[in-house]
Amino acid sequence: MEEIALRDRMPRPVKPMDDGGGAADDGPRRPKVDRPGGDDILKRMRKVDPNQARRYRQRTGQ
Amino acid sequence: MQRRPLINSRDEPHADPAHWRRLHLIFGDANMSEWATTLKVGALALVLDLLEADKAPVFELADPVGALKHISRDRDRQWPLALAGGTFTSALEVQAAYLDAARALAQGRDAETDWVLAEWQRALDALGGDAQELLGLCDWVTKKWLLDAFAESEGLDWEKPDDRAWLQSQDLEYHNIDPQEGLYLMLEQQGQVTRLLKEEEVLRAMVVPPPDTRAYFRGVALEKFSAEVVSLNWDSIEFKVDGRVEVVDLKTCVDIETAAYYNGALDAAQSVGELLKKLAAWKAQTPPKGEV
Repeated sequence: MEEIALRDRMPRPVKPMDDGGGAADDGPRRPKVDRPGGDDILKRMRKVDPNQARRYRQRTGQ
Repeated sequence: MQRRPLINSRDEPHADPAHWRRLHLIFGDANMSEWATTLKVGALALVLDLLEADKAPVFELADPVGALKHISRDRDRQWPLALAGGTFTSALEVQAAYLDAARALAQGRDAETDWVLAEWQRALDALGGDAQELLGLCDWVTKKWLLDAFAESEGLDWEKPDDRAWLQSQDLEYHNIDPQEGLYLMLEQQGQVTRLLKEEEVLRAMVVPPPDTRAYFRGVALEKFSAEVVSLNWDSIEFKVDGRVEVVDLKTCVDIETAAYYNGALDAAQSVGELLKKLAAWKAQTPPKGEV
């Protein structure tokens, strides 16, 4: 999708999925991944407060 | 979230209350995936089309709210649904019936509709077979994959309360919209989930409303005639013209034709006075909706 035409009824993308290629009728590709990539995300997950969900429940009365 | 309702029935239609009501669907607000959001909104639009055409499949569930909880927690992925008559179906069968009806009603209407129908079928096929096919597309599949990998990495056991609490905290962090902290957004930055839009398109959509909407009128009116705008809300805009306040009623600006006229008039108008004349002319020739 390059531009949103201001006066068009349907400004949405005709082929909305910029999926990195593939056959036109295949739809968006899912990424080819086996494991969450890199150490960054696992490092970030280790820093997540283990009690965050418990506090959330207390705060929201759930 | 366990006590969140499906619909917030706000007594605030932002339109003529004699003809319109607003049912604010809030179930599903937590989606992060662009694909999931697009499919959710697109499929719902088709369901609304089916309702308006009186062609929606009829399923009377014994306990609709309870069914949602059961579906979201069914680790067997059979997703059975009890019907009011005492028989059973499954969530996938209900979805398939709606998809078939939507296809019969709307297939070939436009490329966007066909995309929604195709992806809806793809989702149901995967959920009935290998849900991992939706990794990077469907939020719960992606989140479970991420949490399973973390549990394996840290030696966590879903059955131990403390371990489960930490994994539940990760669940919340998946939806954190801070790009430095949110787990989904980190996956996105690493190219491990599928994006449908370019970042610049998202940034533009934050400030440029769709052109066939009342939001466009509000935004452009404020941008173009900010000096004359006295107040602005969804129902009306007040302009100060020649020392008096003129009100543009936006309650009727809720259909494509009216919005197109209003927005076209706004684009063309060189002054608020000119805009008011054009809108008055439209109002004079157009009976209010529901009063034809």
